[in-house]
Amino acid sequence: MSDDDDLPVLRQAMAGLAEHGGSTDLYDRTVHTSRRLGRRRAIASGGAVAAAVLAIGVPVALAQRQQSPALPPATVPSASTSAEPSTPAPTATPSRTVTPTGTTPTRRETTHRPSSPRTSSPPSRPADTGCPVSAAILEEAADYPAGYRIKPADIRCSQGWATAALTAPSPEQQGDGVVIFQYTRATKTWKKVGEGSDVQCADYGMPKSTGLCY
Amino acid sequence: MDGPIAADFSEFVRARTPALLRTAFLLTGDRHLAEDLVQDALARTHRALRKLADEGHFEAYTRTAMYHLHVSRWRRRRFAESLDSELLDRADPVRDHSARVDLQVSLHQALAQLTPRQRAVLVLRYFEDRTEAEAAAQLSCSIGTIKSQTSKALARLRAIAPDLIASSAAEGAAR
Repeated sequence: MSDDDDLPVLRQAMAGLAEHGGSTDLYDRTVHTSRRLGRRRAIASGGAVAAAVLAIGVPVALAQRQQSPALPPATVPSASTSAEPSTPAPTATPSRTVTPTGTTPTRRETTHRPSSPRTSSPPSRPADTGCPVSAAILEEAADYPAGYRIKPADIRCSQGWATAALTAPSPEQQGDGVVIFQYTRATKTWKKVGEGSDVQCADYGMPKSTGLCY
Repeated sequence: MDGPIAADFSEFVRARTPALLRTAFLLTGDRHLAEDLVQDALARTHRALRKLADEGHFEAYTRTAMYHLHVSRWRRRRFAESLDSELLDRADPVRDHSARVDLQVSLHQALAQLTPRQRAVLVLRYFEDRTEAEAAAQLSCSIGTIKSQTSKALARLRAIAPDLIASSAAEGAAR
């Protein structure tokens, strides 16, 4: 690689070509864009909360609805312990299990830490991998300029990892790569770890078993 | 967002924008896209002013944002014609620097055929003169990725614009 380290012609051509960059004053445009980003972020975070509520609340509500007829009323509190936070709320209102509105269990799912070591026997809930994840959450994590979108159909999620193709605001800007995200279980947040058209597992420490890399 | 930090940022933008535009031009190949890229990167720095305690961090933060935005946008290049004509206008065969301008035209066309990441790696290594480790830190990837991307990019340059590489090899052989 020593030859490649010393390429004077390439270096000289780059220095010359770079001079075509100009010297426009971008301060006003920068401040304007910054304010726009701030507004967009505020909207996105509100949307992300709503999406998270829906994404987690609906399956939980459906699961509880499926379980409730099979269980006698006396066993209902124990069945819901896995979803309960550590607060030992005595004699929880049984009406909660009859027709869940979706809001109560959802909030507990998203905001509370894992429950204390009283693991109940039925391992009905899989490990928290962050999947499925909504497009709004990934858009916020990706933090792209206005106009760039992630479509739900373009998201692949597995084992705390996700990839998503990005839809550019115009065809001229459209690329062919994906954005790579990793889920942090402790904080229940997604963060962007990279992007590219060839996702190599070793580059990100991503397990091949996710099926998202090679 | 007022106060001394905002004033420092304003001064930083006005002082360093030309240098940022030079790098952005190599990354995008187009002056307007370069301005957009620098503007977006500066806007992210502006959003993070409270986190950036002292002025010295502005440029590092902006450059990092710029490279990440560039690699993530996969901008498609449709600018070759306009810039080439601008360059070719200056490529007067009777003038001494015509050979240099020819090389710039070759480089511009060759860069347009690289992937954004390959292009970013070349700019970091051969324009900003960063080490492999520094380039890896800038692009948030491994040194191995920098090596492989550099190798692929140079191989592609050899195929597209051999003058850019071959002349340096010849120069090296002549020594």
